[in-house]
Amino acid sequence: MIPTQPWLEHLVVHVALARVGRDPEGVHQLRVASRRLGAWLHLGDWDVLQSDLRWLRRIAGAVRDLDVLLSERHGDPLDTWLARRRERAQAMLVETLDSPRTVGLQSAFETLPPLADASARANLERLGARVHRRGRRAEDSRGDSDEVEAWHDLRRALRQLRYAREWFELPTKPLRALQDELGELGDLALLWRQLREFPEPHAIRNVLDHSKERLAGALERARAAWKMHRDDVSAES
Amino acid sequence: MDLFLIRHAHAENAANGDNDAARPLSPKGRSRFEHVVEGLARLGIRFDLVLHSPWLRAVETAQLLMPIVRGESRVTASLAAAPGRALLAQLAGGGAPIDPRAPSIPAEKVAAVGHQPWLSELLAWLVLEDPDVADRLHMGKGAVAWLKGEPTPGGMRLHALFSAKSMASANDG
Repeated sequence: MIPTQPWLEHLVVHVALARVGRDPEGVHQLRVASRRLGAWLHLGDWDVLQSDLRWLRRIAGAVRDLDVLLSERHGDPLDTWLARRRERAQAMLVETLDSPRTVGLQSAFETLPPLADASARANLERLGARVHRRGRRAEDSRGDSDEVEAWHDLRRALRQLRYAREWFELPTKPLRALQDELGELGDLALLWRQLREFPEPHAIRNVLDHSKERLAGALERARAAWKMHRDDVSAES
Repeated sequence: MDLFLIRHAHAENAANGDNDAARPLSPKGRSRFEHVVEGLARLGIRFDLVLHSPWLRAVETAQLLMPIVRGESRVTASLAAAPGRALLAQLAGGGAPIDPRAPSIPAEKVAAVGHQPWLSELLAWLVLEDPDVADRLHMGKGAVAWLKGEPTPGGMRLHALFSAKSMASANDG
Protein backbone atom coordinates (compact mmCIF):
# COMPACT_ATOMS: atom_id res chain seq x y z
CA MET A 1 0.00 0.00 0.00
CA ILE A 2 1.27 3.47 -0.93
CA PRO A 3 0.09 6.45 1.16
CA THR A 4 0.34 10.08 -0.03
CA GLN A 5 2.90 10.87 2.64
CA PRO A 6 5.52 12.32 2.73
CA TRP A 7 4.72 14.43 -0.33
CA LEU A 8 1.48 15.74 1.09
CA GLU A 9 3.40 17.12 4.06
CA HIS A 10 5.95 18.53 1.64
CA LEU A 11 3.14 20.31 -0.21
CA VAL A 12 1.63 21.76 2.96
CA VAL A 13 5.00 23.06 4.20
CA HIS A 14 5.85 24.67 0.88
CA VAL A 15 2.42 26.21 0.34
CA ALA A 16 3.16 28.21 3.49
CA LEU A 17 6.65 29.13 2.27
CA ALA A 18 5.39 30.08 -1.20
CA ARG A 19 2.79 32.38 0.30
CA VAL A 20 5.55 34.40 2.01
CA GLY A 21 7.30 34.56 -1.36
CA ARG A 22 10.84 35.37 -0.24
CA ASP A 23 12.50 31.99 -0.79
CA PRO A 24 12.23 30.70 -4.40
CA GLU A 25 12.39 27.15 -3.02
CA GLY A 26 8.86 27.58 -1.65
CA VAL A 27 7.27 27.84 -5.08
CA HIS A 28 9.68 25.34 -6.63
CA GLN A 29 9.05 22.67 -4.01
CA LEU A 30 5.31 23.34 -4.07
CA ARG A 31 5.37 22.41 -7.76
CA VAL A 32 7.60 19.39 -7.15
CA ALA A 33 5.23 18.07 -4.47
CA SER A 34 2.25 18.78 -6.68
CA ARG A 35 3.76 16.79 -9.56
CA ARG A 36 4.55 13.86 -7.30
CA LEU A 37 1.00 13.86 -5.98
CA GLY A 38 -0.22 14.06 -9.58
CA ALA A 39 1.80 10.92 -10.37
CA TRP A 40 0.27 9.25 -7.32
CA LEU A 41 -3.24 10.09 -8.56
CA HIS A 42 -2.34 8.72 -11.97
CA LEU A 43 -1.13 5.46 -10.43
CA GLY A 44 -4.41 5.22 -8.53
CA ASP A 45 -6.62 5.93 -11.59
CA TRP A 46 -7.96 9.10 -9.97
CA ASP A 47 -9.29 11.60 -12.51
CA VAL A 48 -10.52 14.09 -9.93
CA LEU A 49 -8.03 16.46 -8.24
CA GLN A 50 -5.66 16.31 -11.24
CA SER A 51 -7.07 19.53 -12.69
CA ASP A 52 -6.76 21.19 -9.29
CA LEU A 53 -3.09 20.27 -9.09
CA ARG A 54 -2.52 21.44 -12.67
CA TRP A 55 -4.25 24.74 -11.87
CA LEU A 56 -2.08 25.24 -8.79
CA ARG A 57 1.08 24.36 -10.74
CA ARG A 58 0.20 26.73 -13.57
CA ILE A 59 -0.21 29.70 -11.26
CA ALA A 60 2.84 28.81 -9.17
CA GLY A 61 4.66 28.18 -12.46
CA ALA A 62 4.29 31.81 -13.49
CA VAL A 63 6.27 32.80 -10.36
CA ARG A 64 8.77 29.97 -10.76
CA ASP A 65 9.49 30.82 -14.40
CA LEU A 66 10.27 34.40 -13.46
CA ASP A 67 12.44 33.26 -10.53
CA VAL A 68 14.46 31.15 -12.98
CA LEU A 69 14.84 34.06 -15.40
CA LEU A 70 15.74 36.49 -12.63
CA SER A 71 18.44 34.17 -11.32
CA GLU A 72 20.47 35.34 -14.36
CA ARG A 73 21.34 39.01 -14.87
CA HIS A 74 20.10 40.33 -18.21
CA GLY A 75 20.51 44.04 -17.48
CA ASP A 76 17.88 46.76 -17.64
CA PRO A 77 15.25 47.40 -18.87
CA LEU A 78 14.61 43.64 -19.07
CA ASP A 79 15.36 42.83 -15.40
CA THR A 80 13.07 45.59 -14.11
CA TRP A 81 10.30 44.39 -16.41
CA LEU A 82 10.75 40.79 -15.25
CA ALA A 83 10.75 41.82 -11.57
CA ARG A 84 7.47 43.70 -12.06
CA ARG A 85 5.91 40.67 -13.70
CA ARG A 86 7.08 38.54 -10.80
CA GLU A 87 5.37 40.82 -8.28
CA ARG A 88 2.09 40.46 -10.14
CA ALA A 89 2.49 36.68 -10.43
CA GLN A 90 3.23 36.43 -6.68
CA ALA A 91 0.08 38.44 -5.83
CA MET A 92 -1.99 36.06 -7.94
CA LEU A 93 -0.33 33.08 -6.27
CA VAL A 94 -1.19 34.36 -2.78
CA GLU A 95 -4.81 34.80 -3.84
CA THR A 96 -4.77 31.26 -5.20
CA LEU A 97 -3.22 29.73 -2.08
CA ASP A 98 -5.89 31.36 0.10
CA SER A 99 -8.75 30.20 -2.12
CA PRO A 100 -11.31 27.53 -1.11
CA ARG A 101 -9.95 25.44 -3.97
CA THR A 102 -6.43 25.18 -2.54
CA VAL A 103 -7.76 24.66 0.99
CA GLY A 104 -10.05 21.93 -0.39
CA LEU A 105 -7.22 20.32 -2.33
CA GLN A 106 -5.09 19.86 0.76
CA SER A 107 -8.07 18.55 2.77
CA ALA A 108 -8.97 16.08 0.02
CA PHE A 109 -5.48 14.59 -0.07
CA GLU A 110 -5.60 14.12 3.69
CA THR A 111 -8.53 11.72 3.32
CA LEU A 112 -7.47 9.67 0.28
CA PRO A 113 -6.79 6.01 1.11
CA PRO A 114 -3.38 4.46 0.22
CA LEU A 115 -2.99 2.96 -3.26
CA ALA A 116 -3.19 -0.76 -3.84
CA ASP A 117 0.18 -1.90 -5.14
CA ALA A 118 -0.93 -4.24 -7.98
CA SER A 119 -3.18 -1.87 -9.92
CA ALA A 120 -0.70 0.98 -9.46
CA ARG A 121 2.05 -1.13 -11.07
CA ALA A 122 -0.07 -1.68 -14.18
CA ASN A 123 -0.39 2.09 -14.53
CA LEU A 124 3.36 2.47 -14.11
CA GLU A 125 3.91 0.33 -17.21
CA ARG A 126 1.55 2.54 -19.18
CA LEU A 127 3.59 5.60 -18.21
CA GLY A 128 6.74 3.93 -19.60
CA ALA A 129 4.98 3.28 -22.91
CA ARG A 130 3.88 6.91 -23.05
CA VAL A 131 7.48 8.12 -22.74
CA HIS A 132 8.40 6.12 -25.84
CA ARG A 133 5.43 7.39 -27.81
CA ARG A 134 6.37 10.97 -26.98
CA GLY A 135 10.02 10.29 -27.77
CA ARG A 136 9.08 9.05 -31.24
CA ARG A 137 6.88 12.08 -31.77
CA ALA A 138 9.70 14.44 -30.75
CA GLU A 139 12.09 12.70 -33.16
CA ASP A 140 9.53 12.95 -35.96
CA SER A 141 8.95 16.66 -35.31
CA ARG A 142 12.49 17.64 -36.34
CA GLY A 143 12.42 21.07 -37.97
CA ASP A 144 8.69 21.57 -37.34
CA SER A 145 7.39 24.73 -35.66
CA ASP A 146 6.25 22.66 -32.67
CA GLU A 147 9.49 20.72 -32.20
CA VAL A 148 10.44 22.48 -28.95
CA GLU A 149 6.96 21.72 -27.58
CA ALA A 150 7.33 18.06 -28.58
CA TRP A 151 10.58 17.74 -26.59
CA HIS A 152 8.94 19.54 -23.71
CA ASP A 153 6.09 17.00 -23.78
CA LEU A 154 8.66 14.21 -23.67
CA ARG A 155 10.31 15.84 -20.66
CA ARG A 156 6.96 16.01 -18.87
CA ALA A 157 6.29 12.33 -19.57
CA LEU A 158 9.77 11.41 -18.32
CA ARG A 159 9.22 13.41 -15.18
CA GLN A 160 5.90 11.73 -14.50
CA LEU A 161 7.43 8.29 -15.04
CA ARG A 162 10.29 9.16 -12.72
CA TYR A 163 7.98 10.40 -9.98
CA ALA A 164 5.75 7.37 -10.38
CA ARG A 165 8.75 5.06 -10.04
CA GLU A 166 9.82 6.93 -6.93
CA TRP A 167 6.52 6.03 -5.25
CA PHE A 168 7.67 2.39 -5.59
CA GLU A 169 11.23 3.29 -4.53
CA LEU A 170 12.54 2.03 -7.89
CA PRO A 171 15.77 3.37 -9.46
CA THR A 172 15.43 6.49 -11.62
CA LYS A 173 19.00 7.51 -12.47
CA PRO A 174 18.82 7.38 -16.32
CA LEU A 175 15.43 9.11 -16.22
CA ARG A 176 16.87 11.91 -14.11
CA ALA A 177 19.87 12.30 -16.41
CA LEU A 178 17.71 12.57 -19.51
CA GLN A 179 15.26 14.89 -17.77
CA ASP A 180 18.17 17.21 -16.86
CA GLU A 181 19.42 17.27 -20.44
CA LEU A 182 15.98 18.22 -21.70
CA GLY A 183 15.62 20.71 -18.85
CA GLU A 184 18.12 23.10 -20.42
CA LEU A 185 15.96 23.25 -23.54
CA GLY A 186 12.88 23.89 -21.42
CA ASP A 187 14.52 26.78 -19.55
CA LEU A 188 15.70 28.41 -22.77
CA ALA A 189 12.31 27.99 -24.43
CA LEU A 190 10.79 29.67 -21.42
CA LEU A 191 13.21 32.61 -21.65
CA TRP A 192 12.45 32.91 -25.36
CA ARG A 193 8.69 33.04 -24.70
CA GLN A 194 9.11 35.75 -22.07
CA LEU A 195 11.43 37.78 -24.27
CA ARG A 196 8.93 37.76 -27.11
CA GLU A 197 6.43 39.47 -24.82
CA PHE A 198 8.80 42.29 -23.97
CA PRO A 199 7.18 45.53 -25.24
CA GLU A 200 10.36 47.04 -26.77
CA PRO A 201 12.20 44.22 -28.59
CA HIS A 202 14.74 46.59 -30.18
CA ALA A 203 16.05 47.43 -26.68
CA ILE A 204 16.99 43.80 -26.03
CA ARG A 205 18.09 42.80 -29.54
CA ASN A 206 21.41 41.29 -28.32
CA VAL A 207 19.68 39.19 -25.65
CA LEU A 208 17.16 37.97 -28.24
CA ASP A 209 19.85 36.95 -30.75
CA HIS A 210 21.92 35.22 -28.08
CA SER A 211 18.90 33.35 -26.73
CA LYS A 212 17.95 32.14 -30.18
CA GLU A 213 21.43 30.68 -30.68
CA ARG A 214 21.40 29.01 -27.27
CA LEU A 215 17.97 27.54 -28.00
CA ALA A 216 19.19 26.01 -31.28
CA GLY A 217 22.18 24.45 -29.47
CA ALA A 218 20.00 23.07 -26.70
CA LEU A 219 17.64 21.52 -29.25
CA GLU A 220 20.55 19.70 -30.86
CA ARG A 221 21.73 18.42 -27.47
CA ALA A 222 18.20 17.26 -26.58
CA ARG A 223 18.01 15.18 -29.78
CA ALA A 224 21.41 13.63 -29.03
CA ALA A 225 20.54 12.91 -25.38
CA TRP A 226 17.34 11.08 -26.30
CA LYS A 227 19.17 9.01 -28.90
CA MET A 228 21.78 8.06 -26.31
CA HIS A 229 19.44 7.30 -23.38
CA ARG A 230 16.18 6.04 -24.90
CA ASP A 231 17.16 2.38 -24.50
CA ASP A 232 18.06 2.99 -20.85
CA VAL A 233 14.52 4.28 -20.35
CA SER A 234 13.18 1.01 -21.80
CA ALA A 235 15.36 -1.01 -19.46
CA GLU A 236 14.15 1.04 -16.50
CA SER A 237 10.47 0.87 -17.20
CA MET B 1 -27.25 27.73 -16.64
CA ASP B 2 -28.19 24.23 -15.54
CA LEU B 3 -27.00 23.47 -12.04
CA PHE B 4 -27.12 19.94 -10.63
CA LEU B 5 -26.83 19.69 -6.85
CA ILE B 6 -25.76 16.14 -6.05
CA ARG B 7 -25.56 14.62 -2.61
CA HIS B 8 -22.73 12.13 -2.18
CA ALA B 9 -23.66 8.46 -2.52
CA HIS B 10 -24.20 6.15 0.45
CA ALA B 11 -21.04 5.91 2.58
CA GLU B 12 -19.65 3.57 5.21
CA ASN B 13 -20.43 4.43 8.82
CA ALA B 14 -17.67 5.98 10.87
CA ALA B 15 -16.32 3.97 13.77
CA ASN B 16 -15.76 5.82 17.03
CA GLY B 17 -12.87 8.23 16.69
CA ASP B 18 -12.65 7.93 12.89
CA ASN B 19 -12.35 11.06 10.82
CA ASP B 20 -15.82 11.72 9.37
CA ALA B 21 -14.26 13.41 6.32
CA ALA B 22 -12.43 10.17 5.47
CA ARG B 23 -15.49 7.90 5.21
CA PRO B 24 -15.46 6.08 1.83
CA LEU B 25 -18.50 5.13 -0.24
CA SER B 26 -20.08 1.79 0.61
CA PRO B 27 -20.31 -0.87 -2.14
CA LYS B 28 -24.08 -0.28 -2.17
CA GLY B 29 -23.62 3.48 -2.55
CA ARG B 30 -21.08 3.03 -5.32
CA SER B 31 -23.24 0.59 -7.26
CA ARG B 32 -26.40 2.66 -6.90
CA PHE B 33 -24.64 5.86 -7.91
CA GLU B 34 -23.26 4.18 -11.02
CA HIS B 35 -26.92 3.78 -12.02
CA VAL B 36 -27.46 7.49 -11.33
CA VAL B 37 -24.58 8.31 -13.69
CA GLU B 38 -26.06 5.98 -16.32
CA GLY B 39 -29.42 7.72 -15.90
CA LEU B 40 -27.87 11.17 -16.31
CA ALA B 41 -26.01 9.97 -19.38
CA ARG B 42 -29.25 8.61 -20.80
CA LEU B 43 -30.78 12.06 -20.37
CA GLY B 44 -27.92 13.40 -22.49
CA ILE B 45 -26.37 15.31 -19.61
CA ARG B 46 -22.66 16.11 -19.84
CA PHE B 47 -21.08 18.40 -17.27
CA ASP B 48 -18.80 21.27 -18.19
CA LEU B 49 -17.67 21.55 -14.61
CA VAL B 50 -17.98 19.47 -11.44
CA LEU B 51 -17.38 21.20 -8.14
CA HIS B 52 -17.03 18.85 -5.19
CA SER B 53 -16.33 18.85 -1.50
CA PRO B 54 -12.93 17.60 -0.30
CA TRP B 55 -14.45 14.90 1.90
CA LEU B 56 -13.69 11.42 0.64
CA ARG B 57 -17.29 10.35 -0.01
CA ALA B 58 -17.80 13.44 -2.19
CA VAL B 59 -14.45 12.98 -3.94
CA GLU B 60 -15.40 9.38 -4.75
CA THR B 61 -18.85 10.45 -5.94
CA ALA B 62 -17.27 13.09 -8.20
CA GLN B 63 -14.91 10.43 -9.53
CA LEU B 64 -17.90 8.28 -10.50
CA LEU B 65 -19.32 11.27 -12.42
CA MET B 66 -16.15 11.76 -14.49
CA PRO B 67 -17.31 9.64 -17.49
CA ILE B 68 -19.98 12.29 -18.12
CA VAL B 69 -17.73 15.31 -17.53
CA ARG B 70 -16.51 17.04 -20.68
CA GLY B 71 -14.81 19.87 -18.78
CA GLU B 72 -12.95 19.58 -15.50
CA SER B 73 -13.50 18.86 -11.82
CA ARG B 74 -12.68 21.32 -9.05
CA VAL B 75 -12.46 20.66 -5.37
CA THR B 76 -13.68 23.39 -3.03
CA ALA B 77 -13.79 23.68 0.74
CA SER B 78 -16.95 25.78 0.27
CA LEU B 79 -18.97 22.59 -0.32
CA ALA B 80 -17.99 21.18 3.08
CA ALA B 81 -19.61 24.03 5.00
CA ALA B 82 -22.87 25.97 5.15
CA PRO B 83 -23.47 27.68 1.80
CA GLY B 84 -22.25 31.25 1.53
CA ARG B 85 -21.61 33.95 -1.02
CA ALA B 86 -18.20 32.48 -1.83
CA LEU B 87 -19.86 29.28 -3.05
CA LEU B 88 -22.41 31.21 -5.12
CA ALA B 89 -19.53 33.09 -6.74
CA GLN B 90 -17.83 29.80 -7.63
CA LEU B 91 -21.05 28.44 -9.10
CA ALA B 92 -21.64 31.67 -11.03
CA GLY B 93 -17.99 31.90 -12.07
CA GLY B 94 -18.45 28.63 -13.87
CA GLY B 95 -15.41 28.03 -15.96
CA ALA B 96 -13.75 31.40 -15.45
CA PRO B 97 -10.32 30.52 -14.07
CA ILE B 98 -8.45 32.64 -11.50
CA ASP B 99 -5.60 32.93 -13.98
CA PRO B 100 -6.87 35.39 -16.62
CA ARG B 101 -4.31 34.05 -19.12
CA ALA B 102 -5.92 30.62 -19.10
CA PRO B 103 -8.76 30.00 -21.55
CA SER B 104 -12.21 30.33 -20.06
CA ILE B 105 -14.43 27.27 -20.17
CA PRO B 106 -18.07 27.91 -21.02
CA ALA B 107 -19.86 26.19 -18.14
CA GLU B 108 -23.51 25.78 -19.03
CA LYS B 109 -23.95 22.56 -17.09
CA VAL B 110 -22.39 22.56 -13.65
CA ALA B 111 -22.61 19.88 -10.96
CA ALA B 112 -21.93 20.49 -7.26
CA VAL B 113 -21.34 17.42 -5.08
CA GLY B 114 -21.80 18.01 -1.37
CA HIS B 115 -23.36 17.08 1.95
CA GLN B 116 -26.46 17.50 4.06
CA PRO B 117 -27.81 19.69 5.52
CA TRP B 118 -25.82 22.23 3.49
CA LEU B 119 -26.95 21.00 0.09
CA SER B 120 -30.64 21.36 0.99
CA GLU B 121 -29.85 24.79 2.43
CA LEU B 122 -28.21 25.75 -0.84
CA LEU B 123 -31.18 24.39 -2.78
CA ALA B 124 -33.64 26.34 -0.61
CA TRP B 125 -31.52 29.48 -0.90
CA LEU B 126 -31.29 29.29 -4.68
CA VAL B 127 -34.93 28.38 -5.28
CA LEU B 128 -36.86 29.90 -2.36
CA GLU B 129 -34.39 32.63 -1.39
CA ASP B 130 -34.36 31.25 2.16
CA PRO B 131 -31.86 28.63 3.40
CA ASP B 132 -33.87 28.25 6.62
CA VAL B 133 -36.61 26.29 4.84
CA ALA B 134 -34.21 23.54 3.79
CA ASP B 135 -36.26 20.87 5.57
CA ARG B 136 -38.89 21.23 2.84
CA LEU B 137 -36.36 20.11 0.24
CA HIS B 138 -34.66 17.04 1.65
CA MET B 139 -32.07 15.31 -0.51
CA GLY B 140 -31.31 11.64 0.11
CA LYS B 141 -27.91 10.06 -0.52
CA GLY B 142 -27.06 10.11 -4.23
CA ALA B 143 -30.02 12.39 -5.01
CA VAL B 144 -29.80 14.92 -7.84
CA ALA B 145 -31.59 18.29 -7.89
CA TRP B 146 -31.63 19.86 -11.36
CA LEU B 147 -31.98 23.65 -11.29
CA LYS B 148 -32.20 26.22 -14.05
CA GLY B 149 -31.50 29.95 -13.88
CA GLU B 150 -28.76 32.02 -12.31
CA PRO B 151 -27.07 30.94 -9.05
CA THR B 152 -28.25 33.86 -6.94
CA PRO B 153 -30.64 33.75 -3.96
CA GLY B 154 -34.06 32.98 -5.47
CA GLY B 155 -32.54 33.07 -8.96
CA MET B 156 -33.15 29.43 -9.88
CA ARG B 157 -36.13 27.16 -10.36
CA LEU B 158 -36.24 23.47 -9.55
CA HIS B 159 -36.52 21.59 -12.82
CA ALA B 160 -36.36 18.03 -11.43
CA LEU B 161 -35.41 16.13 -8.30
CA PHE B 162 -34.27 12.52 -8.64
CA SER B 163 -33.55 10.11 -5.83
CA ALA B 164 -30.75 7.58 -6.38
CA LYS B 165 -33.31 4.81 -6.04
CA SER B 166 -35.63 6.24 -8.69
CA MET B 167 -32.72 6.61 -11.11
CA ALA B 168 -31.69 2.99 -10.52
CA SER B 169 -35.29 1.78 -11.06
CA ALA B 170 -35.61 3.85 -14.25
CA ASN B 171 -32.49 2.15 -15.61
CA ASP B 172 -33.85 -1.29 -14.73
CA GLY B 173 -37.05 -0.47 -16.56
